[in-house]
Amino acid sequence: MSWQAHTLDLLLADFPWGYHRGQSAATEPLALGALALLGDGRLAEAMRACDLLAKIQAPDGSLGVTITEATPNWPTGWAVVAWAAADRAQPSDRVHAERLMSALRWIDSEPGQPMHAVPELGHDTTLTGWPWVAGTNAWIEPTALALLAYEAAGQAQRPRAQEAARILYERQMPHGGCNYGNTVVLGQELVPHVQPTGLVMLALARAADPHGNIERALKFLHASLGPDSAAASLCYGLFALTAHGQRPDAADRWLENAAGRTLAGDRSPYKLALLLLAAQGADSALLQVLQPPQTESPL
Amino acid sequence: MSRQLSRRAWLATTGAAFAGMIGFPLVKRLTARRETVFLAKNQRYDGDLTSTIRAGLLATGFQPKELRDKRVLLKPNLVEPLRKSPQLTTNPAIVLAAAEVFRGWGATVLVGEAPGHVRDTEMALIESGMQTALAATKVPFADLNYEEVGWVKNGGGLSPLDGFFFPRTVLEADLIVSLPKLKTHHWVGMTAAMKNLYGVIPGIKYGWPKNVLHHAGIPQTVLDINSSLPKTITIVDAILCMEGDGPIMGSAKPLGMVAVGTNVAAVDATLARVMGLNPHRISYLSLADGRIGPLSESLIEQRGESWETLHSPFQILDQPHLQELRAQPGEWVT
Repeated sequence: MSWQAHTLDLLLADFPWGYHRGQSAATEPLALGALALLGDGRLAEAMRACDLLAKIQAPDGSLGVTITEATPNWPTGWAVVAWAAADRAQPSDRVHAERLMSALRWIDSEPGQPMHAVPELGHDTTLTGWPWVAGTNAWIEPTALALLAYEAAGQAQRPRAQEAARILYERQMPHGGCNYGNTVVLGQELVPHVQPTGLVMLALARAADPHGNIERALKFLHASLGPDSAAASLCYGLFALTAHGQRPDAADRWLENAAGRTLAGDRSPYKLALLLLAAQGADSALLQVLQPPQTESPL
Repeated sequence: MSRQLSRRAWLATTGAAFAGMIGFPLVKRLTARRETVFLAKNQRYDGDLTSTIRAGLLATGFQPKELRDKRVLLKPNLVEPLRKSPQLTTNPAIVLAAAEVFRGWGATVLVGEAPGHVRDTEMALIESGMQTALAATKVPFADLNYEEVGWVKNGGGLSPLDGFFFPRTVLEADLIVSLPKLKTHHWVGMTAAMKNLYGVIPGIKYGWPKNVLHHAGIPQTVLDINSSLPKTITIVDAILCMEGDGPIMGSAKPLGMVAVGTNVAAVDATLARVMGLNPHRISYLSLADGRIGPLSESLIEQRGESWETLHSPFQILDQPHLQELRAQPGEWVT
């Protein structure tokens, strides 16, 4: 039995998925799990996860972080991606279309708190973007999740999607890659990390690269990934490199190593879903749903 | 009737005001509880840290018998670990030594952290060297960023936040041991025992970074979090510290020191003096004065080494908001 088949069995046995085994169901692991199942052709099981996401959705379209915590709502973009992928798998039904558009309308209306220009910070703090928590500043990862949602829903031309792409491109470090969202503070360039860089490069998979920011970020990912990479960072890094057509030859071996460590360790459903998705490569439902649709649907 | 004050009334009024100006700090000092801080010098990560920590806790009045069958949460600083910057995070040797001490006293020990700048906690454990160390000694780890949470009323009341969501492991702990790395901090001057407890706040509810706390005021929320937690003590990794552009990008500063105390404010005030900073000018310490513990030297009993013998000013950035924290030569900082 391959590690993927074994991992899939364990993941299915642990439904509904939280970040760690035995925890309450959480939006992000549910969406990632649904995407992993779609890529494996497990449509019925994927729909079960998508339906649970629908139960988490609030009347305003947002989804809380877990089934018990109605706020904050930063994982809402993941639900959009999962629902969009599910509807592409069953285009005749499009059962998630209404809830998807409701979530996207919430994303469209959710602003980060812009700051006045701050000379100590090297990035443009006046751009709006998306926050982790309502009423706070914009950061890299929630902004990338918003852009992924627009891309998956075929709404990448909307003004706020363009704004998200601008922010993500602008917040790359001068030497490549990004962290949580600061670039230079008090004159000092900060240190990039793999997971946020991978997520952002996935979201910018179709973006232009006039200043070489994407090229430098991908170079950083290539230099950072290896057989000992932590599971989540490895998967996000591979999402990005695969989306840009630069998947490393050793990717499958690194994933098997990481899966072995995860299965022998905490067996986090969140990490197992990520590993399965990354192993599906360019054929995964995550990467497929980010391909441009035939037509844009109205918001 | 004339509204002029009589001489007696004037004397009574001005006397009360004078007493208020001069007498209140005196009364506060006379009634304030004294705390004990233990400093050990010439410490090494490959040395006998278990003995140092045990001696430090006993010297500061810690009662081991109260720990039997209790849950002790060790909280190191893993904010944004980088393998090439060991001055950034608490060294695993300190964590393991503390675990051995508390286990030896009959407690159930686990390590927990909610890294503030990175979502991948496994990466943080690998980069800091903590994963290998914990696996070898079978000390369990709690990922505080993603645990189930419970709400606790704000016990400090200085920020606008009504309360805090704490991870279940934090709520269930009988004792929290702050295990910080001693570092400069480019916004608030220094980070040690009190600021390290920002790292019990779950990212899933507050973000990466925990921007909700920044909006509510860093000094105020440092105090509020410390005031809302279960009983807290501290063991500070000041063997290899960080100076300059801390808490992430600063340089290594070897100090060879371990600090221990049952009062986090008193320990931080003492460490500020070691660093050449005036604790009364560190915003969150100033708020903690008299609320969490004392800052004044006269209220802090020194055990082990005195801070004067370990005094070694840390480099700080040439920024006005940081330079004003420096203790000046001859300044009365008590």
